[in-house]
Amino acid sequence: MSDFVIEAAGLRKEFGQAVAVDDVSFTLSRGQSLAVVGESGSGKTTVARMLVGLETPSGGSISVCGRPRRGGRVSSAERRRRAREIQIVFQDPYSSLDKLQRIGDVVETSLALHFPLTPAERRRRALELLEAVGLAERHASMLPRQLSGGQRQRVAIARAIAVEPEVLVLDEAVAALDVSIQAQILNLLADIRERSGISYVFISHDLAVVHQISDFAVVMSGGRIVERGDTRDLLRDPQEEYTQALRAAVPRPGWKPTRRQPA
Amino acid sequence: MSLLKRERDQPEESQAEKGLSGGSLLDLRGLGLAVPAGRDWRPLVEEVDLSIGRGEAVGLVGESGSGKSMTARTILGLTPPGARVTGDIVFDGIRVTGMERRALRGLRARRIAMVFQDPRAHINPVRSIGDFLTEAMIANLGVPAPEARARAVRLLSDVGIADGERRMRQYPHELSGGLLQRVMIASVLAVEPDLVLADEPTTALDVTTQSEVMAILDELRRERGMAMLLITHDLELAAATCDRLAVMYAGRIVETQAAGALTATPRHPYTSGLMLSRPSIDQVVHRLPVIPGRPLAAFEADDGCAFAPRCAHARPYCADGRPAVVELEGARVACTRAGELTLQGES
Ligand SMILES: Nc1ncnc2c1ncn2[C@@H]1O[C@H](COP(=O)(O)OP(=O)(O)OP(=O)(O)O)[C@@H](O)[C@H]1O
Ligand SMILES: Nc1ncnc2c1ncn2[C@@H]1O[C@H](COP(=O)(O)OP(=O)(O)O)[C@@H](O)[C@H]1O
Ligand code: SF4
Ligand SMILES: [Mg+2]
Ligand SMILES: [Mg+2]
Repeated sequence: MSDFVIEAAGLRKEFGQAVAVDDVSFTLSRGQSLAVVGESGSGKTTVARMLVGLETPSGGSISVCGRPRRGGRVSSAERRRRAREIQIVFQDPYSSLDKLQRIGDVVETSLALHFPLTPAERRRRALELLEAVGLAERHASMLPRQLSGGQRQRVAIARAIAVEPEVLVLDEAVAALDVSIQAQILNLLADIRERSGISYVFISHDLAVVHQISDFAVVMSGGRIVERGDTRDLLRDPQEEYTQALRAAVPRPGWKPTRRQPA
Repeated sequence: MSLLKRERDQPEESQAEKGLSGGSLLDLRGLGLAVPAGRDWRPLVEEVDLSIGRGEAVGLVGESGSGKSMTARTILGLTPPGARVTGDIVFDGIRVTGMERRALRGLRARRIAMVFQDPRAHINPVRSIGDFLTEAMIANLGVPAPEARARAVRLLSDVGIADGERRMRQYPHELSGGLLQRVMIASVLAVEPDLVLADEPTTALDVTTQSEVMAILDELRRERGMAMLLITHDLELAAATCDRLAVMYAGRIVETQAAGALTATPRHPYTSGLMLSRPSIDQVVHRLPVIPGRPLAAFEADDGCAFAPRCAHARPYCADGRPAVVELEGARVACTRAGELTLQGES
């Protein structure tokens, strides 16, 4: 098996005339956390969707766990195999959870798809997973609408890690959360990575969050990667003007908002 | 309405009224808001005391559901149907609470303006940007149409939109969120209000656009002497752009201080916790210091200190009634232990 859990080379995505992603290449090693940062519309989500197979690249190639991902129809066995390699958590867990499915069943369904467990084992494992993301047994019988946004995000994470994937893609997964809940989820993600050796592709527009959660980062603008590097170095001393502007716009002690120089 | 006009045109009289407002532009005194829930009332905002001076920028900071938006809406009389407002709102010496709707509308149209988080939801999608900007000037200020258009173009240029003539002919869907928020701010400037209530005006924007929009608000506010209430969940942003900050938790203000003092020496455990749990762009910590549990709305809180279940400094007596607000070296804090605690602020 290759050292890389993801190898993306020359990725491109066109939507009609528009080019959403252009010549994007990166690798992700096992256990590593890679951040993808950039402004709205820079192509981050499109990259994420191509990684998990929700979108077919117009060009370039993706390998996950050493196996090339080709487009087109795949068997259900192959789909399951792919699901064990890579999972995704979105910004808004509400829309990705079945409104009528109880929380415990959400996780159990995910388990049933991938592991031959007895109902009792499955139940126990589901409760373990819920506990791992800071939810209690009583939450298992609740419906998504009975949970807070932060709790729903935990369910989405529990459902994804139930599959024990090699890679977890998180697309703005903490963006909509309150500061105090965001901190809890960031710690949870750090714990899970430390325990399991899972790899993250962490997509975010929030540089402070990225600083805390990632080892490496790529900066996207207009569908292209404009800068990449070790996250701490990149944020301490950004080389590209674009990254410098992003960095300078983050409110911090002593910061004053500034108007862009007229073009 | 006539009262407002008189107030504005005859400064001597407003001077006489100053006693009522203690010189500040807006005074909230024990403000409360509750909505009907069955046979009961469900409190959303409780005993809020807050004043904003002329030209002053005050940040109202808190997590979702804490009552920030409801506070702003109450000031404008935009409360949910059947809601009960208690306490007093005094604007420029005039008691607004209990004011009839028409008079309140007048006040809203001329002297207090609101900027919302999502401009798209508040700008009519089938009217052009030009119509949107000139309508209020024509209807509320009696500006003739051609002059209103010329003024609108100038305002667009003030908010950094150079090709105003072209933008005036465009429709909301043709503009990005950042541009549309600038149009919203231009529309606020058009009526030259004394007070801007900005509810998460940059939350939906990229950081670079946020920086720009805040700079525009800041600059124009200073030039025109407008006061601002900035509502945000982003304490750093509020600290960097406001003179004074108020932190809200479960419908109440738990701490009020000058911005610099609040971030350096927070006096309420919640304020300190909020600051520390936010990741920093300058340093990485092994694990973030978290506030356990989740934020509560006013009606979810028990009788004692609403923050007690999450507070690392809680003592059994913290459950004995709501902590009174105390003055502490320029801070107003609602924590029973405020005087004895030393809390960590920004490093
Ligand atoms: N299904 C689609 N059809 C057409 N255009 C699309 C589609 N999905 C994305 N795009 C366009 O591709 C570009 C990149 O979009 P993408 O969603 O990847 O951006 P993003 O970096 O995730 O932005 P955000 O930070 O706002 O989530 C944008 O211009 C977007 O409008
Ligand atoms: N129209 C409404 N009717 C009843 N309750 C409401 C209404 N709008 C908001 N609330 C409730 O009031 C509380 C405070 O909400 P809000 O002021 O919007 O909080 P914030 O702006 O601080 O996030 C929340 O519990 C919210 O659910
Ligand atoms: S009153 Fe007690 S529980 Fe409340 S914030 Fe102060 S120390 Fe914490
Ligand atoms: Mg996206
Ligand atoms: Mg709000």
